[in-house]
Amino acid sequence: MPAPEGLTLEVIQRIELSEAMHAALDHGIALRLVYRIQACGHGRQRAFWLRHAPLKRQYELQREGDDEVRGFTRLAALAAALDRVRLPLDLPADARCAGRVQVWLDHAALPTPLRFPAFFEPEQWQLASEPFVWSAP
Amino acid sequence: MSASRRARALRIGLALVLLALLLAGLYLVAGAQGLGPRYARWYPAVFAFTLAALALLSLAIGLRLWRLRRQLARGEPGARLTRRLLLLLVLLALPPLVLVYGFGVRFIGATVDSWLPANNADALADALALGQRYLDERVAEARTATRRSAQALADAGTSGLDAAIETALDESRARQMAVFEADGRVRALAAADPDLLLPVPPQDEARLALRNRDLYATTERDGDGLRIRILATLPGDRVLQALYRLPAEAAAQTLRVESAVHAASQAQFLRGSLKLAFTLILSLVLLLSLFATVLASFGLARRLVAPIARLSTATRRIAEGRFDAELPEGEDDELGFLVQSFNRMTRELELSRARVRTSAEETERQRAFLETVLTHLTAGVLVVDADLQVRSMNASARALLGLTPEQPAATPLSELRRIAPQAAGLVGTLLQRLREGAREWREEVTLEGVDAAPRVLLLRGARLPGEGAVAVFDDATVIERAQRDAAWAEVARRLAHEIKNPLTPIQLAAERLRRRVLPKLEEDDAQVLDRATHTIVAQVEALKTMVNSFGDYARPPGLALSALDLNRLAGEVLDLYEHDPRVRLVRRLEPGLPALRADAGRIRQVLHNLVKNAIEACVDRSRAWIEVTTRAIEEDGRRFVELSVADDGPGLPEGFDLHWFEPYRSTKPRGTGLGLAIVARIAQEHGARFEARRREEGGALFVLRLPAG
Repeated sequence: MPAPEGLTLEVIQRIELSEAMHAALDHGIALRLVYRIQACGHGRQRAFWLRHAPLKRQYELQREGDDEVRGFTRLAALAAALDRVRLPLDLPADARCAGRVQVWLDHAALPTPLRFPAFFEPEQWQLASEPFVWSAP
Repeated sequence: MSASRRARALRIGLALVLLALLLAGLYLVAGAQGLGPRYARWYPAVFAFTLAALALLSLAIGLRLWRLRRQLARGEPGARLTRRLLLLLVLLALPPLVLVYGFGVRFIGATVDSWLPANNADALADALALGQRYLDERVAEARTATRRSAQALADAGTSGLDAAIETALDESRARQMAVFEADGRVRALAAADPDLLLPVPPQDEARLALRNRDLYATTERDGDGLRIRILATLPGDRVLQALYRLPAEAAAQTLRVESAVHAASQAQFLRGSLKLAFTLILSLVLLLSLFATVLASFGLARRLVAPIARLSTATRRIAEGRFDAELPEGEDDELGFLVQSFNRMTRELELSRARVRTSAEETERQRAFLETVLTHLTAGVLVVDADLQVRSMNASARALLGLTPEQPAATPLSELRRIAPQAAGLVGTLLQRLREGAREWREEVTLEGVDAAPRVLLLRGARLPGEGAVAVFDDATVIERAQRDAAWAEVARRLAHEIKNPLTPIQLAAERLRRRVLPKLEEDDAQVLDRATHTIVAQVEALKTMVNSFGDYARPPGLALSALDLNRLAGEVLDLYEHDPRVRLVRRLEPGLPALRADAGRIRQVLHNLVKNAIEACVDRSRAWIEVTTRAIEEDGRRFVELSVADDGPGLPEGFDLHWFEPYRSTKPRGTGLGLAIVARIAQEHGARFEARRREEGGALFVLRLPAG
C-alpha cells in the first residue's frame, strides 16, 4: 500500500505455531520469522523475533532492527497480531512492479541443540510458506 | 613422474582433502552455535557433507574388502596375511573405541543433567516470582497514583489542564505525564526528566485495550532499565499517560533474574536435544575414527604385508627357476634385513646356478671331447655298468665286433652275446673276468665270423669307480701280420746272407771242373760231367735268383722319394713286355694324373712283379691278356692314384686273404712265393693300399692305391 515515505507490503497470513514451538517459546527460546521479498528486481529480507518475557508475564513481538516491542499476555494474541504484518519495501510510492514474498521459521537462529530436532522433526519445526506473487497497484 | 606415482599422489591428496573436510565438518557441527548465524545456515550442508564423507569412507572400505576377497579367492601372495593383520588391527582398535563411546555417552548425559540441578531451577523460579511481585507492587502504586491524577485533571477542566498536570506530576512519582486527544495529538505534557520532554505515544493495542476499561498498565524496557506505562481515560475521549521509572538497581536485578530464568529454562528444555546432539557428534566421531582405523589398518597391513607378498612371489619365481627377482630393499628394519638377505640368497643361487651351468657345459664339452676321441679312436671302447649293462660303445667297437647299425648297443652283455654271436669271444671273456672280480686284465681274444679269417683282438679291461668296467680292444690281426712279416724278413735276410755267399764258389768250382776235366774224359764220362756241371750252374743261378728275391724282400726300409710320373714309368715297364709273345697287353693310362712322391725303382719293381705274376698265372694258356690301368680317384676328400693290373687267368684261389701276401704263399708251380709279398711290402712302405680281387669276367685284379701329393 502507498505510504508517505514509500510503498509498504501488507502481508495477510495465518501462522500456526506447533507445540514444539510453543514449548520452545515458553522456555525462553526466541523464534525468528524471516520474510524474503523480491520486488522490482531487488531482494530484501525482513525478520520478526517472537519471545517470552516471564517477568512481565507476556509474549513479545519485535521487528528486527526496531526498538519497539509489542507485548501480548497470550500467545494467541501474538499469533493474531501476526495475521496482518506490514513490511516497508523501500520503494518509491509510485513504483509499479510485481513482487514475491515468502516467510519461514529460521532454523539457523535456533540454539545448536535444537537444530538436530529441527533437522530430524520437520513436522514440528518446518514452518515455511510457498512463495506468494503479487503485483503492485 | 610415472603413472603409478601420479595415482598414488592423487590418492594421498584425496585422502588428505577428505580428512580435512571431515574434521572441518565435525568442527562446524560441534561449534556451530559459537560461530553465530553467519555459519549456521551451512549447518544442514555440513551435516549432509559429513554423512556423505562417511558414506564415501564406507565405500572405500567396501571396495578394499571386495578387492581383498578377490585376492583371497585367487590365492594371491599376502592376501591371507593381510586379512589376518586387518582383523587383528580392527579387533585391537574396536574395544577402546567402543569403551570411549560408551563412557562418552554416559558422561554427556551425566554432565548435561548436572548443569541444571532441580534446586537451582526452584530457586530461580522463586527469584522470578519475587521480581514479578515487586513489579506488580510498583504497577499497583503507579495505577493508584495515576487514577488520582486523572481525577484531579478531570476536575480541573480544559482551562486548568496545564496547571493541573504540573501539579499532578509533582504529587506523583511519575517521570512524565501527557494528555492525548482522541486523535492522538498531545494536549498537555509535563516531564520530570530532561530525556522525557518529548511525548512517548502509546501503542494502538494499548489504546484499544483502554476502551474496555478505565485504566491500562504495562511494563516496558527503557534502555537498560524498566518503566511502567499507565493509561487512564479522561472526559472528552482524552487519555492520560503516566510514565514511571523503576529504580535502576532494582530494574537491573529483576532483569538479571529474568535472564537467569531464561537460561535455566532453555537449558532444561534443550537437555534432551543437547544429549542427542552430543551423542550424534560423538557417534560421527566414532564412525570417523572407526573407518579411519579400518582404512589405516588396510594401509598398514598392505605396508607390512607388501614385502612379504613380494618375497612370496619372488620365492615362487625362484622355485620356477627364474632368478631375476630383485626386490626393493626398503626400510632399514627386520623386514628390510629379510629382503636384503633374500636378495643376497637369490644372487648366490644365481651364481651357483651359473657355476652349475658352466660345470655342466664343461662336462658336456668333456663328454663331447671324449666321445669325439672315442669315435675317432681305432681301438674299440666298451663301458658296462655294475649291472653288466652296456652303457657306451664307440664306433670302432661296433666295427670290431661286427655290429650292424641296427643292432642296439645299450643292452646287457649277455643279450649282446645273443644278438651278436660273432662277438661272443670278447663278450664271454669280459663276462668271465667281471664275474671273477678282476680289477685289470689283458689278453688276446679271437672272434670268429666277423671276417673270413679269425679276427684277433687284444683286450684290456679295468674296473671303474662305481663297479662298472671299461674294455678297450684293438685289432691285433694286422700286428700279428706285421710280426710275421718281420719274422719273414729276418728269415730272408739270413737266407740271403747264409746261402748267397757259397753260391759263387760253387758255380766257379763247377765251371772250373767243366773247363779242366771235361776235355780229358771219355765220351760217356764227359757227357755225365757235362750234364752234372750244367745242372749245378743252372741250379746255382736259380738259387741266386731266389736269394736276390729274398734280398729284395728283406731289404731294410729306406725309400728314395721323388716326383714320379706314373704313366711314363708304366709305359717304360710295359714296353719291355710289348713284344713278348706270351702276352696280349692292354694299356689304359689316364692322362693328367696328380703328382706322386714315390720311390721310382720300387714302383717299377711293383709293376714288374704284378705283370710277371699275371704271366705266370696264365702259364697254361697260349697268350695271357693283361690290362694295366692308371687313374685318379678321390675318396673322403683325399686324392689317390691307382695302378691296376688285371688278367684273365684262373683268378684268386679259394680262401684268399691277406695271408696270401706273405712269402711262400703261391699257387703257381714255378713261383718263388715272394712276388706279391714284395709288392705288399712296398705298398706298406709308401702308405699305400694293396688289394686283390676276383674279376667277374674271370681272372684276378691287383690294385695299388697310392696317396697323391
